[in-house]
Amino acid sequence: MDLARFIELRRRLWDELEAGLERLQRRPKSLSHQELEDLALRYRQVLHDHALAAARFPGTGVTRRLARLSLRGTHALVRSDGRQRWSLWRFLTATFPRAFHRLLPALGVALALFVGSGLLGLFLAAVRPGLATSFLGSERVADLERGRLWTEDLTTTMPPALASSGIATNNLGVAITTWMGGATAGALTLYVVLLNGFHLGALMGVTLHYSMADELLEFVTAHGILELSLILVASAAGFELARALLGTGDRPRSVALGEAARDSLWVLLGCLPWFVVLAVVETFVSPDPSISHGAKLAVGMALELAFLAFALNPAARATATAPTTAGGEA
Amino acid sequence: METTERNVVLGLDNIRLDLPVAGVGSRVLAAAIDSVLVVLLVAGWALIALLALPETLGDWRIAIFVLGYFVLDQGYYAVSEITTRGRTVGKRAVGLRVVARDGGTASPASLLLRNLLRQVDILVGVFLMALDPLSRRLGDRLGGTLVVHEETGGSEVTLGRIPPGWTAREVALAEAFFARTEELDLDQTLFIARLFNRWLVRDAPDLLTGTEPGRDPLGALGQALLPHRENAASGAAS
Repeated sequence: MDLARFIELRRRLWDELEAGLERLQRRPKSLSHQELEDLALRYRQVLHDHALAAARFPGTGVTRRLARLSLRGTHALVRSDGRQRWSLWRFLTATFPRAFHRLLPALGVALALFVGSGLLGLFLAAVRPGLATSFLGSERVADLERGRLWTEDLTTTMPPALASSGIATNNLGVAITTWMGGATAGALTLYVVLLNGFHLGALMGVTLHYSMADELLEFVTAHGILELSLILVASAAGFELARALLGTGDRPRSVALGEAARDSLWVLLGCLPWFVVLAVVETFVSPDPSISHGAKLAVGMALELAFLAFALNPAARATATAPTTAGGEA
Repeated sequence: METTERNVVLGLDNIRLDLPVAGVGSRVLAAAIDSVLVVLLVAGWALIALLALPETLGDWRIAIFVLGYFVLDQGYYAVSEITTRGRTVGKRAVGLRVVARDGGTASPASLLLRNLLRQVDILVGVFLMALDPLSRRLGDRLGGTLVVHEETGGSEVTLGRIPPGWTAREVALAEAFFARTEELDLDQTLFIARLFNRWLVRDAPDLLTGTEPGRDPLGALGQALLPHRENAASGAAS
């Protein structure tokens, strides 16, 4: 077929696709289902025309027009993820729990590292209290020597509104950074896990040394149980990201990377709202001396159980091995 | 259209698509524009929080500002890319857009992923983009996205009539000539137009009917080969 004949036979189709794409861009809802089907058919025909023109008539204006139309059609009509409408309910009941199930091995690793570094911090604080107190700073140590925890400052020096918003944004930032640290081959995530574990262990050791451990536990129980869980889950998501970057097994890297990245993203997104709840608890419940230790423990356990019930949704467990696709659909 | 760096990806039915992948320079420029916009948005938000919210809220006004600042800082890029199908204000200004690896529309999850990794990419992104033939930063690799130049197109010259027997080579030559007539000096233009007219006399004399190739070689050539719109423009130029 020569170029003139090719254009004569196919130009109408190209014009129709161009007009259809224009309409789709301007008034997407004005197209009926059948019109969309026709548009998709024309798009595929134009793609093939483009392939033919690129091979047989390179460098011509027609080939350039077909390349442009193909790109425009691809952008307007192709969705590689087969996106469905976003559903919060589906995310909460299926997408997040499934991704969480697949993350459990990485969560085990994060927990082991955290406990290990925590025990090391506790051990160091026990045998070398002077070294461990350097983590706290002289002012806090002075507070401890006066029989006072630095956590009381949360209510005495800062208005609750500022404290809660500051805590929420700080913890959200820590969670995102921990997850994102997976992109540094896991180095930053590892650092966050080890540092937090060591820091908590050392704090416990120092407060034990000053006989203030009960007060510290009373302060952290309401928010700390879930907060640590969430940081560990974010760390596990970061490790999963790192694993996908470093080792993809026998699958193409882009596929393995995409799946792991999405799974870890779903888990991170499922964790973030809890940090806002925890910030309120940490500001209004944890430092309040009028609330008993038992009540604070009950709040902490209730929050942890609520999160676990959400994350370990048994309905999602059965299909946990299937990869989640983008857009929240599992 | 030919000025951008192009890279091939396989689209639907494994058909090659030449994506005009955006390079480091244009992407950094777009990011700089967006960064300025984020600063302006934060400043506007601060004014709203401090001046427009009722004073009875007390310290909660600052708390609302802090939370809003966090959302703007972390969410501007992702939300604007998701709602505009890959075009933030900065990208729109520079003529860029984010697409999926196959050239299609990137999913919200992909856009969210690439933007949550922005802080890591501030450190290593430019380096990675410089090394990658598709100019992908880490967020692009994990999100499965590319940043491409918007296809504006439509301005290239295409022949309206093709003489019988002309192959793609002659057609491309004639289109390139029409596209460059304004860059050539008059003598060169007329010389080349006469050459084309000789081919037309040989291959398709009918196309020159009603024209005066001897007196106005460029006008005659345009009238013979170009669609009406380009023909009129060419005639005016000559």
